[in-house]
Amino acid sequence: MPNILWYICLRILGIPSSLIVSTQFIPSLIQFLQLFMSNKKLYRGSLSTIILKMLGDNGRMYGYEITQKVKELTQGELQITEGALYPALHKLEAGGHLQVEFEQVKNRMRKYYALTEAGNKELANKLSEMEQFLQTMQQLINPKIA
Amino acid sequence: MKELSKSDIQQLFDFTQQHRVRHLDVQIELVDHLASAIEVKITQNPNLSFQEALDQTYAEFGIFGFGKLEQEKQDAVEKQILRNVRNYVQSFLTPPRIFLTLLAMLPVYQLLNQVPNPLLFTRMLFGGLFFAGIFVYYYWLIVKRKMMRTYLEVKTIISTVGHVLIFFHVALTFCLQEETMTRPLAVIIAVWTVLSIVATIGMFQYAYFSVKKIEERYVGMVNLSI
Repeated sequence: MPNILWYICLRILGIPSSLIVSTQFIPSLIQFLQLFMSNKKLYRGSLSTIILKMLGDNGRMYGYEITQKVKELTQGELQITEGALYPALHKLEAGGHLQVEFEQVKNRMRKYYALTEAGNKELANKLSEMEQFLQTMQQLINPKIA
Repeated sequence: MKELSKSDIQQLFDFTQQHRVRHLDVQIELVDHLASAIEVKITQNPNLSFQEALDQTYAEFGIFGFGKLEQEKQDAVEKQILRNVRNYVQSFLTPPRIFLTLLAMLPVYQLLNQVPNPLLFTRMLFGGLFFAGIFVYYYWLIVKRKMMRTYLEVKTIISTVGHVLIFFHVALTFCLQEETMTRPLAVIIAVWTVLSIVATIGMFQYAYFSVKKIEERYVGMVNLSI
């Protein structure tokens, strides 16, 4: 709705409609560029595997704990951004791989995530996929070892 | 570790609200994240004020901030609902149920053959089904309106159910444009009538149980957090 109002206002000011419509794509364009400028894009596709693995190893965890744990295990090399973590968690939750529970901690509620049975199966699948991937990459990059 | 006070937490809830996160289920998670990060920051650097620590933490979310979080959660839930519906339809397709559905179509077909004005009958039937669906749906919207405002998941489930129902009921109106009643049209009407009734009942049943599950999960949460 605000988009339509915005459109009408700009049209009244005499700005061509094609120009107004094209401004809507600016955020996605920026995101696209960001993706390519980032040197962490190799990790991006494995985010759900990382989350599942963390939960598989540590039982139940909350969002902030996952980012800190990953940071700690990789000695700061991999820092999961919050903007990517929560959508990934919500996707896994909606897919039935994670179960959530709430708990009162200090003055606030905390949302804990844990693997469901389907999540455990998914973790095993993802890990074997990942191993396969690493092996293949190893063969390509370093043929002597393989 | 320094602990944030109740008023600080309330300030964080207001902060998420100002940044267009409207639903409590998303807010709670974000507030806990912000609070944990701020506590760590303030403990490491005691000179840092609450507001500075908050600004730093918010900057870590990237240039979009919380912008896409709600939309992406909604998309994930929507996709899951459609997947569930597909699974439900697949599990529904067992021989006895298909047979019963076909059997249920027969009386509709018979009625169409026997009434004096089959087209008028069809219009009344579809109109009745349409208004019955709308009535039940709106009743439900009114009953669940507070939950829809509070929980993004509930809102997504109810609106998706609405879309599926609209599909079935709007598709019915295509049959109404015909001028004469023919045998194939009668078969289509019978099939579509039974299918839309089955779909409507199935969707309502699905929505009812999913919402109930969410209610159970969040029980008591609202009182504790605000």
